[in-house]
Amino acid sequence: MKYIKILLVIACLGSITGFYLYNKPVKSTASKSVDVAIQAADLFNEFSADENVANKKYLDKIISISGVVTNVADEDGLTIVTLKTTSDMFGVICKIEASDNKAKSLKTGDEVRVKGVCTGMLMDVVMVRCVIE
Amino acid sequence: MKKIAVVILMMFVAAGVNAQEKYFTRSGKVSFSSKTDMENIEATNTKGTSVMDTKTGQVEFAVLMKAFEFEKELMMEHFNENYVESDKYPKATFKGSITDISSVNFQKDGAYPVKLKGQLTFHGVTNDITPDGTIEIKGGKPTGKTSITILLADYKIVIPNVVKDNISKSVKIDIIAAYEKMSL
Repeated sequence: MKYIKILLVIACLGSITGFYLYNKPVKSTASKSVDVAIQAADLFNEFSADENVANKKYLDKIISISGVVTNVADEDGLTIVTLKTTSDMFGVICKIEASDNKAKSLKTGDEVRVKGVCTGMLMDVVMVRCVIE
Repeated sequence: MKKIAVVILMMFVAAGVNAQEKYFTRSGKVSFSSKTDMENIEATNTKGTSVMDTKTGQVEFAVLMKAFEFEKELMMEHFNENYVESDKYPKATFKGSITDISSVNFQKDGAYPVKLKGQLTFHGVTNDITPDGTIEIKGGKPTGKTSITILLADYKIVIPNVVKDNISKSVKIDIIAAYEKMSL
């Protein structure tokens, strides 16, 4: 009997943790440690020079990017910050997490450091789940 | 000398006209949902880029697979690692055209139904698709919308037996692109 009780308790705990892990929300980048720190222009240049190599190096990595703000936009309540690169037309686009409250007050020309997840390059390098450091 | 000047001038005029007819966005929205009795899976990507040529009807759309955002961490992991293999295939693209672009009056506000034709590429597989869409003109700015339903098997996405009740075999993808005039 005792063993059955213990087994039941273990099974219960197991399913609770299982359920918790299964439903775990996506973690904020704020709590994650940085894999690479780089300048916005350098990151952009690496992607322009060889996308495949840059993909291997940076995809899914938590990157701390420093750069100068060229644009701050509001898209459906989320702030999008664009950082200056060597290109006139394209930059590093950072989609800021909803929990971040520093990005909204940024202005063009400000120097910032943004921590986020690198998703690759379309015409701009796109970062998601970003927070202002 | 004069001839060269005329040619150069014409090139500028041509380029100017061209620029006027191209529309662009870098905040195209792509969301998909898979609905089964067991579970609904939804994800959104708001960082798609798209270019539309209002004269020829040509449309291109691209998204980064890793920029899809999920509610649950595990879903995001499975999506990227097991299903779309986003390390190997980081992008999804649509290249094609609006076949009846002439039916859209870009000067006049309204919603115009259109037909699209082109190739959808992701997970390393390219298929022809011919979805219906609409172009809405509001204050001179066009917004393109379309919905496509794809079979995962058509794109070589294999669902393991254990979760076959949780993931729908067909996935509905909604695409919205609010374009701005391209200024060159």
